[in-house]
Amino acid sequence: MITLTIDGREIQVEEGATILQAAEKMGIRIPTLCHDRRLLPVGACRICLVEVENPRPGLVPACATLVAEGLVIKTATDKVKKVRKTILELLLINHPLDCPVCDKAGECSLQDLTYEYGVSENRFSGKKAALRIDVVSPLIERNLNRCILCGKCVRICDELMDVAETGFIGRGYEARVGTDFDRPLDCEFCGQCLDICPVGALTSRLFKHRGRVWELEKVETTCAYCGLGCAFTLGVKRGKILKARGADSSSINDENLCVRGHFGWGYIHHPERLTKPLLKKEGRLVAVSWKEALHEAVRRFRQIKEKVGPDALAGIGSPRLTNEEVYLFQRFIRAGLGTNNIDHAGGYGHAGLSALKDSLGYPGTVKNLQDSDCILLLRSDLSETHPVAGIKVNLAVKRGRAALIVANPYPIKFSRHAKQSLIYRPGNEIALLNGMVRVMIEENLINREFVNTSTSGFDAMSKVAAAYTPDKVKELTGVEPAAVIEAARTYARAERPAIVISAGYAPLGEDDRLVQAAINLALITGNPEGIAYLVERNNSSGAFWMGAVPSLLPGRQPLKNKGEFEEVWGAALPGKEGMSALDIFNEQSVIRGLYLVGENPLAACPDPVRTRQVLEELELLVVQDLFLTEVAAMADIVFPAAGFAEKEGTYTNTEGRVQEIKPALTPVGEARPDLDIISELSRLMGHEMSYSSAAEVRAEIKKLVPDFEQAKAFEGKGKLVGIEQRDVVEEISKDYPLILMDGGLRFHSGSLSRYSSALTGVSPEARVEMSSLDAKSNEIEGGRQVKVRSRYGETLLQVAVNDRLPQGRVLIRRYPKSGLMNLLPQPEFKDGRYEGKICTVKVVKA
Amino acid sequence: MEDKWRVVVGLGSCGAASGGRGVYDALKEGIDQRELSAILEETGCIGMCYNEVLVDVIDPKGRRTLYKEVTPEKIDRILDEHVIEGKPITEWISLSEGVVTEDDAFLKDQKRIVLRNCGLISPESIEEYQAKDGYQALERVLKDMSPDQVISEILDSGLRGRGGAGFPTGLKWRFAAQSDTKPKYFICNADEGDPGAFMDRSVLEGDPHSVLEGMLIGAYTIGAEAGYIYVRAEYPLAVARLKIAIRAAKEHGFLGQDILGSNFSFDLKIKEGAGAFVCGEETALIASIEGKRGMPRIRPPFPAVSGLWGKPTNINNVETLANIPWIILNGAKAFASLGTEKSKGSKVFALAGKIKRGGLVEVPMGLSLREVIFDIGGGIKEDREFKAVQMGGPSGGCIPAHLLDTPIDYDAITATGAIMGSGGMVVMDETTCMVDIARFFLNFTQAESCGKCTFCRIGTKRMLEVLERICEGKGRMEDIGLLEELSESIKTTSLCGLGQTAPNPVLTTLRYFRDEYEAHIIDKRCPAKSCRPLLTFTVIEELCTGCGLCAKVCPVDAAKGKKKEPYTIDQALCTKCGQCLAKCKFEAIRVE
Ligand SMILES: Cc1cc2nc3c(=O)[nH]c(=O)nc-3n(C[C@H](O)[C@H](O)[C@H](O)COP(=O)(O)O)c2cc1C
Ligand code: SF4
Ligand code: SF4
Ligand code: SF4
Ligand code: FES
Repeated sequence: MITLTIDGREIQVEEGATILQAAEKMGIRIPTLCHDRRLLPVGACRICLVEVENPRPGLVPACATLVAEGLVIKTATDKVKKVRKTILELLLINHPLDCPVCDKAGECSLQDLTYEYGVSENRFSGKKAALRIDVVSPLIERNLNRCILCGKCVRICDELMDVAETGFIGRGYEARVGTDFDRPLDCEFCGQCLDICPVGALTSRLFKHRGRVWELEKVETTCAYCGLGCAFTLGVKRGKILKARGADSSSINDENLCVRGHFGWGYIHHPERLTKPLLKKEGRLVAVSWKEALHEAVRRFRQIKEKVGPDALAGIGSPRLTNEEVYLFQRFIRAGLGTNNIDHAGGYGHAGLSALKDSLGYPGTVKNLQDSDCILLLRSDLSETHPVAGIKVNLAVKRGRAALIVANPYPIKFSRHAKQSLIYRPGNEIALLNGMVRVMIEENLINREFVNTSTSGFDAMSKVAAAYTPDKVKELTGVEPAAVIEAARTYARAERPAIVISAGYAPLGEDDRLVQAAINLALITGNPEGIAYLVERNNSSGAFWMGAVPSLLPGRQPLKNKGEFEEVWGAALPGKEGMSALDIFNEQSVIRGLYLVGENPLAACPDPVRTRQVLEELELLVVQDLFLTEVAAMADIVFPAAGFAEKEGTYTNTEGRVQEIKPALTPVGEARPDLDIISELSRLMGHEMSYSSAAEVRAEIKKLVPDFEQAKAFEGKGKLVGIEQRDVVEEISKDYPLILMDGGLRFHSGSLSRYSSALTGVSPEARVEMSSLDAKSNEIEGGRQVKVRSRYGETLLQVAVNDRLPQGRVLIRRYPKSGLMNLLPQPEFKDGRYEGKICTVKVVKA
Repeated sequence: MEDKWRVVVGLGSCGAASGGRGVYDALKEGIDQRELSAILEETGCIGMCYNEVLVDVIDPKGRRTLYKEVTPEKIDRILDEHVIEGKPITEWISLSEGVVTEDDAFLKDQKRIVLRNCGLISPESIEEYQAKDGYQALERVLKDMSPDQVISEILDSGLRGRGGAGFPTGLKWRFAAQSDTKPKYFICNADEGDPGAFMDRSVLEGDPHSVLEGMLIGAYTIGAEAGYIYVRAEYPLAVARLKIAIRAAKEHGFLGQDILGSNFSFDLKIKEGAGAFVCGEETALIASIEGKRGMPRIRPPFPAVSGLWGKPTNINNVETLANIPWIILNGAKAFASLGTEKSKGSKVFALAGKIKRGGLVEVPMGLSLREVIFDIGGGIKEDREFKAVQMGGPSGGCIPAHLLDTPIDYDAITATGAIMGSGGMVVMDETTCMVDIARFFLNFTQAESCGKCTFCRIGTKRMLEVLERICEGKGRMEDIGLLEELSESIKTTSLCGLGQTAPNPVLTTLRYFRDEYEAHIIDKRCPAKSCRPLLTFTVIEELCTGCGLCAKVCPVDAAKGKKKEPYTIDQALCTKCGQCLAKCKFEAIRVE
């Protein structure tokens, strides 16, 4: 600890703190312009100068000067004030002073400081800057005439986003921020630069001339795209969201946002939002009253239940719903309809969460990533799937000098910072992990004491791993023995290594096995806190935990524990395990009536042809959604639901953290929150539910699920389980010579992003990427339309030829219209579980 | 070789710029035609830039005769009379034993340590360097001295960095040696961005091995295995000679793996900079080598702790390094015996401006400015009045006549408001306007500011605008206060040396020549008659013959009159272009 004196008061702070941090701790405000606590200090603007009295008198920038023992500082002497005022005068000389039409007014640091320091006249005069305003770049308007060259946009784009889209150009007075050759922005459009700009140089096109900052009502809530659950603040004016800004209340995002959080909420105001309940009459969906729609649904659910039995009914929810909604939904299906036929799409992704719960006792954590000294990115193209988690990895690597090992079937953005980039044959990650485990055991790099005291199953696991000799691993994965050995050593020797896995990119049915294989690695080296399993959707974690699964009740309790639930719900519950989404869309499907809440199986399940067939054969299809999706268009009854900003409740993020969402808007038209719709339906169905708020539902949940807030850390016991590498790739043949890989895309996530014009506007066209060698041998030219054909179907896409992609593999990212699902095989039911395969395809000229 | 004649042409950039190549070619042709066995060689700059092209004729006994202002036309006589007949051409001699010339004074008071070999050896021959004890210091260090001993020796010598800041080199090395992170880097700063400075260039062109040897000794001392020479791309000759020198040093085992069997290895690369002044600042230079934009960053951490690629790094200037081998061979004492209490050894200056003998000089510290300018430099051209000497370039200031007895000493010069700097010395006479000089330097710094700090970026621009205004006669009395206030703020608040020193030229001129500022502002008059907008051109009736030339050249028809009668100049129209003044054959135009 270091003792210093600021403005006459003594304070103790930790070594390495800056004067600014020390002052903040004491509640003393020092103005800043170029400082941001997320960035490395540069000390450029000099507005934070403070006066040192002792030991070496002079002015120093508080943001960039470290505290020292015995330092005596004054933060607001006349000298300091005068310098600050002069800085403002200088900055204002060329500043356009078009505050009345500037969208930053009201939250502009320059404006605020000018007011605070009473700069009313300027002793200097000079020409106002007259640079061309960038009206071309999407989403972000750049008016560099207002720029004060604090450099924060440049630095956040480089230091955090690792994009470095802009940089300083020119010297002296001519210095400014620009792109190469002054082209428009062509970047990740995370909007981080826009948020961090202290003035109106960078503003959001979505906000342009739509309102004044002070008119906005600010609602702090949670982003509803990916499983990280970033905290953000919505700016709302007259029932419209106009902007979003990262909030720092949740340490997961530390004010950062990705493009989806920043710009992707616009779907909520999409003109195609459903505003009225619809009922199919004479083959056409027509608007009806809520009463009619609900009664009709109840009548027909009853009909089927009575005629065929409750197990002819099923419900599929969505990982987009709140915890409260999922909970009520499954309660309705189980207690109201009387069946355990309940699932959520992407339901198979929950298997990974299951494995974490079983073998680690908690869902992993993202928190430790930034402080890790070695990171294994396993099948995790983070800058596409979870860009905000990518920031943490980036900081660990660039600032903390963590050793990065990228294990992916194709090179990703992070590969360039990797100490090792292991490009393996798709689907063979388990072999790779087993190979590493074997090396660690062989070379005695494991933490014996931890294994003995805190794990079980070591012997059996190591027996399985023993078979994965470097040669065998090479045969399966294509990765050189030396590389596997080096990776194992790097990981094992690190003090705080972490493994990152993006959920949902392993072949179907493999997620839990992959997670377990990774857990083995973490546990034998004694690093149970170094696992980050990143789920896809905002509430994937909650949907699983709240029981939207056929075999488990809320809190992951087995069906045999149903007694307690029967008591609270006041109804008898079925004891037979229900059908999963895959069963429901299976050839043998016996389902007659289906209730879909927020889910579109046509886009989310493999083999859309078969899925469509099952849907068409249903007697009753009830769909509850924001839009008339493909599947909603097939429905008999459609309930218009409220979006994330129109309702209350909680989401559970990938780390098991329960986070609130708050209503910022009233639902559009007659749309209603899912919570209301489900409880009303249930009541009409004869299973009474009445709640006046989400909090009431939550209270009930907490009664039944004491660990609603799940364990956040390892609690001392872990399981090791040997996992064999399955053969997951279809045969490579002359007809299907290429392995198909699917990849994430930062501009999209599931079904909602396609209704965001901001996201679709900057997202590239759906394409298939292939290596230049494959393109050449198939006589395919980049940029052309091609047909990608598998054994199950085909899709028409533009082709992007890419030098970095390994030969023999093609990559399709999850664009809304990629047709990826057309290509995938139906999973096979084997040994009590579904197993999917990675399919092989052929690419031909269209 | 010893029984042959040798003819050596000075082919530094200065010699080449004065037509040295042509002289060299003519000599080659002449020697071939006459079928002489004389050896033709080239060398670097000896410093007498005012005498270029210089040709040294060395007879088989080793007696040297240096000819000045040689042109291709003079070649025949030199070859025929001197080389063939053995009779030197006395009237062209600049220096020769036994012949008394004006130029003797130029060398008499100099003390050539850094420039010890410049102009005397062929910079492209490692053998000639070795013949002058080259690489013996390195050998001694590697064989007999521990890093600590080297540091003590350098500390004892009192050597301070010649790149501008004057930080003790021994201390700097000690800091870098103390960091235990590996690898470490050793960088030579050859960016030399001050306008008008060419000390480092001359050393690199004339004696590149001395710099390499200094670097090697330094690298051994701090424990660096790799290094860079950061040299501006505008110095192609220096780069070419460095490349040759590096290759030769490698071939001779002075560079590379296991140097002289000592286990010490050093790898050296040249990095060409794009010529931004600010890239001479050490942290900007490091950023530039890393491939980033050359922008200074906050220190600490100092490069000795975290420099290139985040590793401990030592940076020294060219001239600093060229001193090192001499100190090792001659001892710290010999070096410290020169100079003043806190400024030891010698310092190289580039003498320029209104001085008779402009060029490169190396003088012992402690000599007075007067001695340098008047004894060595020969005083002011056309025997005009000395007004001031600008030292330290854009970071320095103007020292007036009454301070001419200031000794060459870091602290004494700083006390005047100027700085020792890297060695630029621009001499000014009564025709130089001090406001204009301040404007000139500020124009330079404001354009070269990296743009990071608010004051340096905008403040210098505003100061420049004020100075321009004053030079145009549109100044106001408040402007002086404004200049002073901005200067103070820029100095105290800027991040790097560029901003911190940028106001010096203004502050010193305000301090010593305030009356000139006031004359511009109050009387709208430029005492040096240099600021055109403040001049009035009138016709002196008595001298005007009415030839009408002025009217012919005047682009705005301000000069009017009838032939054979005195002309007049219409002040309302006159744009003060000065063409009439230049054209008038009868000196009938008066300037005020
Ligand atoms: C704006 C600026 C420009 C500089 N330019 C040079 C230069 O061209 N050459 C140089 O050797 N040092 C230059 N320096 C000084 C260097 O930062 C550094 O102090 C020096 O290279 C250290 O070497 P020394 O200790 O041997 O003098 C400059 C400093 C500043 C602030
Ligand atoms: S939007 Fe993001 S990626 Fe694009 S320039 Fe700004 S910070 Fe960089
Ligand atoms: S655009 Fe904004 S954030 Fe970027 S340098 Fe200018 S003022 Fe700073
Ligand atoms: S003082 Fe000037 S040159 Fe130095 S960092 Fe600041 S702006 Fe750049
Ligand atoms: S905030 Fe400290 S220098 Fe800009």
